[in-house]
Amino acid sequence: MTTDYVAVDNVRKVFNAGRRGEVEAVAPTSFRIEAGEFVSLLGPSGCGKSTLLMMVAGLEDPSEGAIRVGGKPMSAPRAQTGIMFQDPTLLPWKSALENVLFPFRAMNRPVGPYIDHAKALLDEVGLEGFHDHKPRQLSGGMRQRVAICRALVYQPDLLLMDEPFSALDAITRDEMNLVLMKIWQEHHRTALFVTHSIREAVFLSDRVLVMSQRPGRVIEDIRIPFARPRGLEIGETAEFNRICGHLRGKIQHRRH
Amino acid sequence: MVSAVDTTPLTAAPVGLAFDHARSIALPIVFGAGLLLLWHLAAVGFQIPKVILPTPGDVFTALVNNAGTIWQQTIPTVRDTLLGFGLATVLGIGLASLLSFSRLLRDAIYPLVIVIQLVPKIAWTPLFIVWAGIGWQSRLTIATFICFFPIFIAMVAGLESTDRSLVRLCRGLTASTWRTFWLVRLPGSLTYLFAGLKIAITLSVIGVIVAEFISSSEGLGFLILKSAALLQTDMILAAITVLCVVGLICYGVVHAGEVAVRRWRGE
Amino acid sequence: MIAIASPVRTVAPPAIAALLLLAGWDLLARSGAVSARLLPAPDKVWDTLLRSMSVLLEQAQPTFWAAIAGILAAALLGILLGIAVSVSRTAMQAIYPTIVFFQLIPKVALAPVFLIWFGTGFTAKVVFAVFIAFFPVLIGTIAGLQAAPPSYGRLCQALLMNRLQTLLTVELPFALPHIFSGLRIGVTFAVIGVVLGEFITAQTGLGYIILFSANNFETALLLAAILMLCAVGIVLFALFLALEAIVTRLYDSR
Repeated sequence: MTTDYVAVDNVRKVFNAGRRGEVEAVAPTSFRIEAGEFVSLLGPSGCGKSTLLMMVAGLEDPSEGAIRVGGKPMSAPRAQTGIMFQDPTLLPWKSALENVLFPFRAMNRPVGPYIDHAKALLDEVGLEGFHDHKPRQLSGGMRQRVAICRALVYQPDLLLMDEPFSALDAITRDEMNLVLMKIWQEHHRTALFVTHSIREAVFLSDRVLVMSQRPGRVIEDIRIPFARPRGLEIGETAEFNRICGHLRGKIQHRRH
Repeated sequence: MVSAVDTTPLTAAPVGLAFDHARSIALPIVFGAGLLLLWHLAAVGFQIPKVILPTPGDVFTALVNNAGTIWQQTIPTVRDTLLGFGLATVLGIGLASLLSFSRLLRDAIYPLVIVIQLVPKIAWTPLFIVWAGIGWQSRLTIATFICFFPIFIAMVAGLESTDRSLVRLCRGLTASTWRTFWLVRLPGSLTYLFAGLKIAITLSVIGVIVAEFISSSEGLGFLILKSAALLQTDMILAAITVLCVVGLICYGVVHAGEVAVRRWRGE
Repeated sequence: MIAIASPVRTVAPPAIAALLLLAGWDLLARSGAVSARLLPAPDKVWDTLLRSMSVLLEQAQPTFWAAIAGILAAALLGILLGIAVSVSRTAMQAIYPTIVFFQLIPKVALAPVFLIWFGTGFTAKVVFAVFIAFFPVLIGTIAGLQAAPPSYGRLCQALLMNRLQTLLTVELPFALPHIFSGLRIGVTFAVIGVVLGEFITAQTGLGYIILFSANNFETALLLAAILMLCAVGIVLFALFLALEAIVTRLYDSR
C-alpha cells in the first residue's frame, strides 16, 4: 500500500516587495510524495524551489493552498522533520558530537540516551576520530556530514534538504552524494531534496519534479528507474544521460 | 601537516623564526628604553626644572618614597573602576538581551541610546556629582554610565549578528524563543561582547579619574590633582605610572577572557 | 523576504519612547518627589537654554575652536607619523607596541601635567586635545596602510612603481576609510580633551559653565550647557563627515 506522506495542494506564495508591489515566488502548484520516497525539486536558481521547501518545513506560510504532512495540515514547524540547509549552520563553539546532539538541546530534551546513536551516525558518515573537533577544524564536506547526522539523529520521519551540497567542490559533492545515498538507504526516510544540479537530482532520487522559472511551479514529474543500491557508475550509463538530457530540455525550453 | 614541516631543513626556518620573534620583543623594548633615555637627557641636558620635567629617576624615587600614600589612594580608584565596570556589564547585557526579544522595544530604545551616547559622556560627570554627591556613589555611577554604552552597543550588535540560518534551524527544530536565545544567540554574541568590554574597561578608569579630578578627597585622580596644585610633578607622574599599571592589568584580564572565548569557539 | 522599512516605522518608535521619557521626567520633576534643584522640569531647562543662549554661544566658541585646532593638529601629526612608521618594518615593530601602550593607558590622567607645562589658557586645552585625539588617527592610519590586499603590492612592483607612487595611488586610497574612522573617534576625543581641560582650568568654555553650574546647583543651566555641548559635538562630527565625503569623491573621480 502506498500512502501520500506529503501532499501539496495548489500552493502559492506571494512576497510583499515594498514599493514594487507583490512578487509571486511560487505559482499555484501541487504534488505528492509517498512515504519512504526520495524526491528532488529541480529548477533554475530563483525559481522558488527553496521557498516551496521552506513551506513544507513550516518555516514559511503559503499565501494560498494547503500542505499536509503525515495527514496533518502544516502551519508551524513540526518536531518530526529533519532539515539541512545550503550552509551547514553548525554552532562554531560546539564539537561535532555536540552539534549532532543540538536538536535535543533545542527541544529541551535529555541527550543522555542518544549519545551512542549520535556517535554511531558520525562513524557511519566517516567521521570516526572527529567527534570532538570544532567546526572550524573540519573541511566543508565534513561539516555537511555533521549536518546530515544532526538532521537524522532525532529520527525524523521527513528529511528536507535545501541545496545542501551546492557550496562544495565537484569532487566533494560526488562524495557527499554517496554518503547521503548510503545513509538514506539505511534509514529510509521520506525525503525532499532541492537542487539545481540535474545529475545530482537523477542520481539520488526516486522521482524528480522540475520547476519552471519564477514564478515557479512543477511542470514535470519523472520517475527515475535505477534500482538501489546505486553507485556513481550509473552516471555513465546511456539511460542516465538520456534522462538528464530530457530534464535539461525541460528546463531550457521554459527559459525562452 | 606536521611531517611537511619536519622535512624542511632544520637549520634555516626555525632559527629565522626565533630571530624574528626575538626582534619583535627586543625592538619595542629598545625603543621604549630609548624614549626614557631621551627624556632623561632632555631633562638633564637642558637643565629643565624638576617642577616642569623631573627625570625618570626622580619619578621612580617619588614612587618608592610615597609607595604607602599611592597604594592607599589606588584602592578606592580600583574599587570604583571595577564595580562600575561590573555593574555596567550586567546592565548592558541585560538591556541588550531584553531588546533582542522584542522588535518594537528594540526599535524604540536602541536609537535613543545611540543619540544619548553622542554627547561627550565626560560632560555628564558634574551632573552625577550634583545628583549622587561627592562620595564613591557618584564615581560608581559615572563609571557605570560611561561603561554601559560600549557594552550595550556591542551586545546588541552581537545578538543581531546571529547567523540567520541558525535561527531558522532552531525554528525548524521547534525550539522556544528562550532556548534559541540561550543556546544560539547568547553564546554567539560573546566575541562582540568582549570587544565592547575591552573599550569599557579603559573608559571605566577614565570615568573614575575624571570624577576624582572634579570632586573627591580620595583616589589616584585626587592625588594627581593635589600634587599638581603643589607643583609636585614627580609625584603626579609616579601616581600616573601606578594608574597605567592598574589600567593595563584590568585590560589584560579582559583580553585574556577574550582569548579564552576565541579558543572556545575553535578559532 | 524583502521588507523595506518605511520612515514612519523607523522614526515613530524612538520618537514615542523619547516623548515618554520626557513625560516621565516632567512628572517626576513636578511631583515634588525630587527637588527642583536636582531635577528641573524639561520646560525649565528649555527656558534656561533660551535665556542663557548668548552666554552659552559665547562660551561655546573657545570650546569649538580649541576642539577644531586640536583635531586638525592631531590629524596632521597622526597621518604623517602613521605613514612614516608604515614605511619601515623595523620602525613598525619598534614603535607599534608603544603606540598601543599609549592607546590603552588612561591618558586623561595626564591633564594636570599639561597645565603645568602650558598654563591654564587656550594652548593647554588644545595641546591636551591633540594628545588624546592623536592616537586614534595614528592607529587608523597604520591599520589603513595595511588594508591594501597583498596582490596590489605585487602589481605595483611588477609595474616598477616607486614607493611614493605606490603610496599615493594604491595604499592611501585603500587607507582612507580607516583614516576617517580614526578621525571620527579623534573628533570625539578632541571634544572630551577640551572639556576636561576646561573642567580643570575653570576659566572659559562650556566645560567651565558645566562645572560652575554644578557647583552652584544650577542644574537647569548645567543641562542647557550639556545640550549646547552636544550641538558643538554634532557640528564638528558633521564637518568631518562632509570632509570625508569630499575627499572620497575626489579620489573616486580621478
